Amino acid sequence: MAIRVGKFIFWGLIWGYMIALFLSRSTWLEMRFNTSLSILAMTLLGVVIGFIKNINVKKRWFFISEILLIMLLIATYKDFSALAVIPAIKFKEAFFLNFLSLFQANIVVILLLIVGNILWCIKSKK
Amino acid sequence: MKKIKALFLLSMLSMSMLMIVGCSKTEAEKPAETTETEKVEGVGDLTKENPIQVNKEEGTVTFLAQVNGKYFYEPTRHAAVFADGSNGEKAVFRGFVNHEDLYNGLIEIGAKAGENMTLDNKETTNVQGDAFDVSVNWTGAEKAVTIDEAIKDSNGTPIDIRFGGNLKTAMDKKTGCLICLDSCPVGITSNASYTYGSVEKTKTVEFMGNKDILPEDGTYVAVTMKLKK
Repeated sequence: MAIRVGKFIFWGLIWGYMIALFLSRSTWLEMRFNTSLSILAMTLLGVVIGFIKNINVKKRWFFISEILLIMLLIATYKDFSALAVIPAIKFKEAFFLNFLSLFQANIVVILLLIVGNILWCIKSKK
Repeated sequence: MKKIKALFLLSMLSMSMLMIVGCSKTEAEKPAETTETEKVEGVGDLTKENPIQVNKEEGTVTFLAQVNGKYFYEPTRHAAVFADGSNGEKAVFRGFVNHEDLYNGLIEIGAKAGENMTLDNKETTNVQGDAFDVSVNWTGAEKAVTIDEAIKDSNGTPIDIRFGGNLKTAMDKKTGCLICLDSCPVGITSNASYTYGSVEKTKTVEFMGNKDILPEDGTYVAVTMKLKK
């Protein structure tokens, strides 16, 4: 069960990032709301879905989502250096971790990325 | 199964590599002296406990702020906002002085507020009031940079910062706005080159921090507002 919940937390995180990127395209919205909260919302939704046993997501959809996020990041910012800044800053904003430095936030994001991918590669019991 | 493994490896490697490449690129692009200065929680005598300096003789107000790297990549309509204001995370510079202290500092150096912006006329009126030369400096910088160098205007129009005043509205709204990039009825100072709504509504201009000039995210900077004579 823990692996399943962990998987869906990461799945939610990926979709949260995609929604945050989409919302931040609107400067009006970005200037009024913390659009990164969609990451928190989707992560919490991931926890809930993780406990609902009859909802399943195939591995391939997870990896396709992940690749989609990478493509979306590159297409949105058109600058590889944004990848070292934007995911970390949005993560800090989403989870109210403004005390973290950019470097520390990047480490956390990379660790989550590794753990999340490992979880999705583990064959969980049905 | 092999396909899934390949997808996993591809996505994980590409994301990690891109982040690492991005990290090294941002490091490489910065002047060498800025990388060691990010941990210093202040600039010169400016600290979070003493975030503003008023120099009547020189006609300057200098306040402590911090670079928000998000706006190297996304547009904003704020140059500097007090960190504890509701717009604290929406500016290129996260200021550590509040709007009231900045207002009082500008009055102290003899600046006259325009007080011509209201919530009703904001979209048709350009802010008035005394003008300032705004510059940004940080520990290890070769020299201070002007606001026009620090913040990119998509039209290339010079940024014309004026003392709008607006203290009462600023106190009511609690946005913390110190320097807005279009004429603003709330910000203590704002850019007379554009009317309110130019960034968000009519989208006639986009402002972004200049990552090729400014130090990296989190670096403390001193923002100086010098009264134009």
